[in-house]
Amino acid sequence: MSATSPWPPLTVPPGSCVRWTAGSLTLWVARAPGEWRIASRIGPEPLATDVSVESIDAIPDDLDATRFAASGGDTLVLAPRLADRSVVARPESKLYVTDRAIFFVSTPVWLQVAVQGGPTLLELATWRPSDTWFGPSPTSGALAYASRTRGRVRPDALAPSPVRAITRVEIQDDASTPLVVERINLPIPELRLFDAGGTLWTTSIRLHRRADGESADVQLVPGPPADHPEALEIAAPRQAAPGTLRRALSALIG
Amino acid sequence: MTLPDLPIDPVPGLRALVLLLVGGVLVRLVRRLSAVIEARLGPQGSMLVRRIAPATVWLLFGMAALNELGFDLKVLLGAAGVLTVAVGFASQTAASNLISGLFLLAERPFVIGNVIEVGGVTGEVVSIDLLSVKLRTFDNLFVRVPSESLIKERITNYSHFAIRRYDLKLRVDYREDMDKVRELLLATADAMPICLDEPAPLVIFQGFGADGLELQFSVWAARERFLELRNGLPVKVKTAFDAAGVRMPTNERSLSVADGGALAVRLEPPPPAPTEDSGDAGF
Repeated sequence: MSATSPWPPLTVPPGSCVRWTAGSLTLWVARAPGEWRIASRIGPEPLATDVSVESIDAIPDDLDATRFAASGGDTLVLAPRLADRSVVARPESKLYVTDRAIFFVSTPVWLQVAVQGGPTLLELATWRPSDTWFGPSPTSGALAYASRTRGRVRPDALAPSPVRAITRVEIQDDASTPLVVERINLPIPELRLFDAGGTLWTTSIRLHRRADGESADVQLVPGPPADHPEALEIAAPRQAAPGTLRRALSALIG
Repeated sequence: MTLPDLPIDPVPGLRALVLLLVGGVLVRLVRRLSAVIEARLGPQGSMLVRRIAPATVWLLFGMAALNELGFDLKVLLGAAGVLTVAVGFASQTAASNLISGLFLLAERPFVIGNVIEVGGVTGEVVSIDLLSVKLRTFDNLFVRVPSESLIKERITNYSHFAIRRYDLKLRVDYREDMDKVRELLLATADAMPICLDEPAPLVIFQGFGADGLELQFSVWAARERFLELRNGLPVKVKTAFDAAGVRMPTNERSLSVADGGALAVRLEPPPPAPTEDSGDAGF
């Protein structure tokens, strides 16, 4: 059985209001008959780790709340989702791969808010990453997010957070020259999200640089990550992708 | 059994009718396939096919039908030739626009929805026709630009590439620390998620101006966020400068007196602050 969220549902009776915090994101939720009012704010600290719920009197006046007309129950399901764009990650220092390298990258998750058994109300980032461009020139490439945390060679070196998902990246190099990795473009929307007992993980990525040195096979390793085989899948990929895809190396490594 | 002799042979008439019917069916088929044509050729190509194909089909099948009915088409073609010369002289501009329109359709420097600037007019492309292109300006004016003008003039397409660079020109006082200014500017861009991390923001020295150091702060953003960047970045830079005490020069001038003379300077006390019972309360 796969779970849908590591966070418990949020029940808000009509006439009441709660404040829900996960990492840097704070959500204010007020319930009225047939209507939800939701406001949000992202704090200044990208690596905050608190998850908490408390009842409050009302949504603060200085916040712009969005109103949703929705029938159904008084319970919201808060579920994590992966980013809606690729994420460009950098290893902690320039990496020269001669045959094999493994590193771990953490990326912020998005929060999906849905009425239990009903429609999705909204989706927002728990931390708004900076936009960036990945490509050989400003005329060709793609918009992506920039990961401000560096890739680490051990997952426990990453700051733990309930709102960040860890991706294992394995690089296999068959070319005769070392592969210089300063940044890597991770296809986050094509990955699945797993819950490993409170820590979020994604599908692992295996990048195999071919002998010609110009192209690479990208494999999204099926199933949970090797570091946590017991992890449960909680979100499907946003975009379908074949299991193994051959791409130009320049589209992946910079 | 044979058919009785009729005063007029009906067979050519029937053949002409069949030709016209086939022509009609072809025209209807083109119209019904417009969605498929648009998917393959794009909206501009589809417009071209929808306008030219029916006229061409009717012309060919009409001439074939007239031929079946026994009309001598050589006379018609001769008259058409004379008419063409006359019309050609009269419609040189239209013909030039038409041919320019065809070249534009082939070259595709822009598509419907793009924002372009041509001849000093900036607007969104709402229609691309053979003779002209129609723009809607941002203050909601309708501008028709002849195709001939578009071929001759420089067109700037603001929507062609996915990212754009904004160059903020600013001046700082000569007494300011350039390294501190540079760090402040880069930190301001770093704090705005819509500023792209790459291509990285740049602080470019422009020169020693009359009023201060002239700099250009270049920042990239997604095309859709360009206006937000253009309006938001200067405000944040000003706020950061104010908080850090970085002075941006106003028009100060240094005065020197000729022949080594001196100017007498007298410091006046500040004017008294207005009180509540100042007397002159107006109305």
